Amino acid sequence: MAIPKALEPTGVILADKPAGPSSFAIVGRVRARTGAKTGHAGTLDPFATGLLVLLSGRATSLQDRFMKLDKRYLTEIDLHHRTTTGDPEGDMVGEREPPSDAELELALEDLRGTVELPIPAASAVKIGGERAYRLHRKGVVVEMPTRQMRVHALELLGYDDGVARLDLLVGSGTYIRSLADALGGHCATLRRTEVGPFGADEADETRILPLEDCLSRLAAV
Amino acid sequence: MRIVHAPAQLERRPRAVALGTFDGVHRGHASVMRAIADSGLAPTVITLDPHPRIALGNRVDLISSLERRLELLAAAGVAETLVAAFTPELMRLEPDEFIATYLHGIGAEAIAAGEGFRFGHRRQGSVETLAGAGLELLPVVQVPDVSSSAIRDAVRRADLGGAAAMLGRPFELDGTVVAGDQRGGTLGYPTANIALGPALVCPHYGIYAGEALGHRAAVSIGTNPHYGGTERRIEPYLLDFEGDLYGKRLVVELWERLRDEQTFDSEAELVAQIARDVEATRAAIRPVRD
Repeated sequence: MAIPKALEPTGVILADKPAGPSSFAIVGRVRARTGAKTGHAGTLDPFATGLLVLLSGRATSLQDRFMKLDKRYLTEIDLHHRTTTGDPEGDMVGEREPPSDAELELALEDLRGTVELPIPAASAVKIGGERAYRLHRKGVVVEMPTRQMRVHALELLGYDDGVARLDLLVGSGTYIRSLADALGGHCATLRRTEVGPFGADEADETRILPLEDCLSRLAAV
Repeated sequence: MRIVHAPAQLERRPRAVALGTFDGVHRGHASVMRAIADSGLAPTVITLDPHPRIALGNRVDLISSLERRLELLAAAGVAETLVAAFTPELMRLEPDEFIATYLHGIGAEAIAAGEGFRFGHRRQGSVETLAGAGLELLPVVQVPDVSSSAIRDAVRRADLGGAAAMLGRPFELDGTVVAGDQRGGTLGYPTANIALGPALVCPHYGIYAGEALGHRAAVSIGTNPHYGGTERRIEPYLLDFEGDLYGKRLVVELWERLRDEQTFDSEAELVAQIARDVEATRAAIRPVRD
């Protein structure tokens, strides 16, 4: 008989994911330390960094409550070309001259509010230095379904050498890679700074926030 | 448990996904279900129907109906199950397309599959392909010497103890009660005549002890040779039961094989033998304790 994973400690763990590992790899690392059943409330692509909300013990059953929250990101969008995955790991497509400041402002204006955009292809993963996800390499084009994405706030922090730095507050299920693709570029870097009431500046993988406190923070949003 | 039939019906969320046909939901499958349930991610199953080998024109006698399979998956703690129709289109999907649509599309991050699991066009996809696509392979506690085909073989040769040990519960007959020959009633032992799904495995003909609806049941499986029958009949007599079962689904656990079918010199001898079968049914032991 397998021993069921412990339901204690119960609580919420805020982790600051580095670029490279998958979200589930961070889950595995935390589980190895606490011994508790551990899940999370929303993926960050391997190339992205920032806040990952981990659920420990009995909190794993509350994935729904923590999943629908608005998220805030800092991103650098390289407007020289698109990639097949909207991130730096995909193959380059559609090289072009980056837009002028005025053209970029107009394009950004179109993204504010509710936009219908295709879900990006899965972010590429490298195994032993080689890309293992071969879909695009073989030229197979999968028609990705579109989804309503919500951009509550979008601020251009800077635009130099064809790279736009953006601060975005978006609804759950909004892909920054899709927004980058809609602008004609790709995400060079992506960092999640907030998930609902939780901030990346609070992240500490060794701290377990009491579930009740976190639920009242959710209720206060 | 929520049941859907297309990946688009499953919201993209962090999921641990178990992939397979899971016929019978035996102890090996239960170990896979524990792996996804313990992962901390939303435990999700993608199961194929019809069974791929049947879809390809082979004969496979299934242990459980799809309905029963889904009930057993729900009992194992699965939150959502996608029943993927095993169509020529699905079969032709390149492994990468399958991963994009069925796994990344629903937010799968971790995967559990039995040993030797293959998928996609020409069975090119393996667990290594899944790992290569960035999906975490969940460790599954291996349950040695348990397989759906071994269970089917055990049932066919009436080794119900062996089948139950592999299933983790007694083998079950699952069907709808239909009109029979109405003979049992005249003998004092009214039976329910079960129409078993044509794709389901049927045990070696004979007389069995088991249970249905919480009542012990003496079950005749065979052609009723005493009356010169030729068609297969599956007829449980539920002890201490009164009620109308016509048109209802009946799930009958089989516990023990009592004897072969046989012909008798007289109806009185047949009735006397049935009385002894009922007595043996009252004394029968369920092969697996809950």
